[in-house]
Amino acid sequence: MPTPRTLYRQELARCREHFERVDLQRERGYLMRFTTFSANVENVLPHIPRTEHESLFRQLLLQQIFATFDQQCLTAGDLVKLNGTRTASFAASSPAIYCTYHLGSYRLLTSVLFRQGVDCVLLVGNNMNRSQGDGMVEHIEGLRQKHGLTNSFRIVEAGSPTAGLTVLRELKAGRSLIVYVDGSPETAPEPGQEDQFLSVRFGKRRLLTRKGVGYLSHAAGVPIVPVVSYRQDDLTNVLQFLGAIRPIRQSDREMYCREAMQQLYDAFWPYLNRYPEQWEGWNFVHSFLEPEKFRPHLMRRRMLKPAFNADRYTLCDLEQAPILFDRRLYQTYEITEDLRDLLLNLNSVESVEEVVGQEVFGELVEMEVLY
Amino acid sequence: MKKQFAIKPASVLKSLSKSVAKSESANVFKFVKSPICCDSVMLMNGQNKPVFSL
Repeated sequence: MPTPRTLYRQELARCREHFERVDLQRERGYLMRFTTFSANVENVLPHIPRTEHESLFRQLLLQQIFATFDQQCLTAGDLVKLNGTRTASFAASSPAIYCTYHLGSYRLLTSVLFRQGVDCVLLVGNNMNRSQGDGMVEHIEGLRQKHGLTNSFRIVEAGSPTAGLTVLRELKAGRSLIVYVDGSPETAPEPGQEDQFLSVRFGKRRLLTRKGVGYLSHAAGVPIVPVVSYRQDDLTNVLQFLGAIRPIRQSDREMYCREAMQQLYDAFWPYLNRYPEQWEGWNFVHSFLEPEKFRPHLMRRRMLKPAFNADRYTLCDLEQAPILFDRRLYQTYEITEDLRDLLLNLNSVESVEEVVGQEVFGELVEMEVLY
Repeated sequence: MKKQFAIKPASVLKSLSKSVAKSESANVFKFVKSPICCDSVMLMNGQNKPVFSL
């Protein structure tokens, strides 16, 4: 009789088998998605060569399939390896704000905490709540029926105007909060929301992150517990519980928020470097990245034989229209087919400036499309 | 016919790419026309999926 772990691995192997039959290049929207993914990887983890991006993207899609499987499979939560200090008895522990990231099978944390008898409040972006929240509710209901659990579970939409107060009340009532601290597309900063965000180091870049978690922790006097989810090569899911960040009463709230949010990103960084193919955040992190500091233009010179700046720009066709994508600033430009053909064959003309005209040539040099 | 060389920021496309990212996080597999993957799991989102145990 095969064990649940053996059955689980067999199911994932079948998922992989089916996924490998899909020709992603033929899927609508693939190129734009991949280009954004690739630019994000390059801007955050520049040591990963561009030649590896496509394989990473495929692996990420597969990881997401596995994560979807885990959400439907109640057994997946029983097979998780729990590491860290806060794993002995969750239910007996006082409430906490569990901060996790979109890494690995990231929904398993909710499953495991609920299974352990923890009263949970899951904070989600609105979009996730509409499209995936139902799945989570079904998962929780399934656990409730299977194990006769009576603890509470509630989903709160982060975008709701009353979300902060609701969550604060829940924390004070002894329930624990689960938050995806690395954001989601619909929680990205919008103009006028600057006071809700703060800037943290993220490798060599900086990004904006919502400070609500730090605020809640300080206001409710509840510790923040960072939890990283990742999948080992043998397909075992691991939940790594890291050292708690505890608020000090009477301390400055703003300062605590800054320190706590930075610690949360510092805790995540080594895992991101180790499992870059498991982070769904690659699909939206550009909405949170702060622009790079101004870099002075290279010394202008009259270019007799300019070259296309492939480090910074990608040429692609979107809906059969030629597009120039700025990988550094995430700006997209519409270009004519003639310009696309020229950029692909710069060596075929004597003088680029003469062909395109002084004005367009100046623009291309200014934008560093040509160098 | 005279060749045309022009470049302009694609504001429509910028918002398109933003909306692509939005829908992607919610529904990554929308664009993967998946067959019935494993016997017990459908990868197409937007459907009510029953939970199960192994």
